[in-house]
Amino acid sequence: MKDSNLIERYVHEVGAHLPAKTRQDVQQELRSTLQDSLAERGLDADKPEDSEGVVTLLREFGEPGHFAARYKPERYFISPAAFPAFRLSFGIAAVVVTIVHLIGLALQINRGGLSFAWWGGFMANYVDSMLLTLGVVAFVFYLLEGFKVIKPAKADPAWDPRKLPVIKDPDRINRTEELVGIIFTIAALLVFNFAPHWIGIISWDEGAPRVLPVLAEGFLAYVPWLTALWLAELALKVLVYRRGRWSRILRAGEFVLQLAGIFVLYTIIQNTEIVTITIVDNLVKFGLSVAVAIMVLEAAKQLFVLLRGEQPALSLEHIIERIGK
Amino acid sequence: MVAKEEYPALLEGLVAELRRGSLGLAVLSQLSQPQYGYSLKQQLAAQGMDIPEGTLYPLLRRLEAQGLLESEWRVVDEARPRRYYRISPRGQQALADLTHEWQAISQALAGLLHGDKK
Repeated sequence: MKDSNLIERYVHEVGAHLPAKTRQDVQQELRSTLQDSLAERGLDADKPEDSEGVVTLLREFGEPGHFAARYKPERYFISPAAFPAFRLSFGIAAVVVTIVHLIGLALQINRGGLSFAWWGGFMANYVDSMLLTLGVVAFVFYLLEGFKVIKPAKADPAWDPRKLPVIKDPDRINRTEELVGIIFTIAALLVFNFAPHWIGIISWDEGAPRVLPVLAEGFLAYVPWLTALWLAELALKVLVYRRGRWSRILRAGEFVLQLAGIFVLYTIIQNTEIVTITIVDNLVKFGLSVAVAIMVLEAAKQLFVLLRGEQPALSLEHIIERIGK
Repeated sequence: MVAKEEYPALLEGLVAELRRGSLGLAVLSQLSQPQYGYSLKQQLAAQGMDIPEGTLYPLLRRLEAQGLLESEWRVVDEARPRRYYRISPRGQQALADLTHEWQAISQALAGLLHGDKK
C-alpha cells in the first residue's frame, strides 16, 4: 500500500471527527501541510523506502481524534472525543427507528390505502421519532460526559498510522455482486416470459416430477410491465458493470427505476392475485410489501446521494462496519 | 501533594499553560505579510517558538473566527493549494494592545522574579 494513501487515510480519519461545516477546509489544509512536511524532510510518500518516515511524521501529528479535538469550539454539547461514539450510537438507534417504520410501511402497503394523508402522517411521525431519538441520545451523552463517565482518551504512545482505516470509494462497484444481479435479472426475464408455468408446486406423479403452476392469470397480465422494468434494469446494470463505477447519471437512472419498481409492485399487490393459493398469496404479498418498503428506503438514500454527492453518514453499511470494529 | 514521579507531567502542564496565552500574540506578530501554516511554523521555530501543528492550525482558525486574521487559498509556484493567513485591521489593533499588555506583564514579572519591585 502506498503511503500517499496513508496520508489520505489520516486526513480522512481526522475529517471523520470534525463537523461537516469545517471538515473539507480543515482536511485540505492538513493535506497541504503534510505534503509540505514530507517535502521538507525529503520524503516521497510513494517510495516504499520512505515508508517509516511517513509513519514517523504522522505520529508527530498525533492520533486523528486528538488532532481533530484541537479544532473544538469553545463551547460544545458533545465533545469531539465523544462525537464518533455519539454518532455511532445515534446511528444504531436511527436504524432501529427506521426498521420499525419500515415494518409499519410494509403493513400499510399490504393493507392498501397509501393516500397522501397517510404518507404525510407517516413522514411526520418518522421525523418526530428521529428527532426524539437524537435528543435522547444527545442528552445521555451529555450526562455521561458531565458525570465524567466518558473521559477524553489519552494519547496512545503506541498508535500506529499503518492501522488507519482504508478509505472506501462509494462510487466503486463490486463487479461480482453486479454480475450476480445481471444473471438473476436475465433469469427472471426468461422464466416469467417463456416459462411462467415452471413456478409452482412440484409433485411426484408416477415417479416423474410434475409442476402445478401457481401464478394467477391476473398477475401474468403484469409480466409485460415487469419485463420493461427488468430490461431497463439490465441495461443499467450492464452499463455500471462495464464502467466499474457509479456516475451521477447512472444513479439518476437507478433512482427512476426504483420509483418505477415501487409503482409496479404496489399496483400488483393492490390490484391482483399473484398466486392462486390464498394463504401463499397473502404471504407473497406481505413479502413484496416488505420489499417495497425497503425500496422506498433505498430510493430515499439514492436521492440523498444524488443531491449531496456523497453517501449518507449514517448509512446502514457504515454503521454495521463501525460496529464490526 | 504531587508524587515525585508525577512532577515532570505537572511541570509540562504548567509550561503549556504559561505558553498558551502567548501563542496568539506570537502568531499575530508574524503575519504582517501573508504566510501559509507550514512556513509560519518554520518561521516561529527559527525564532525559538516551536508550536506543534496540532496547536498552530486550530489556533489560526480561532484567530480567523475572531476576525483577527484573514485567509485565502492560493496556488503560488506549485500546483499544491495553500491557505495563506494575514493579520486583519482588527488583528493589528489587537496586536498593538496585546503587545502593550505583554510588556506590562513582562516588566512586572521581571520585577517580581528579580526582587527589584518598586
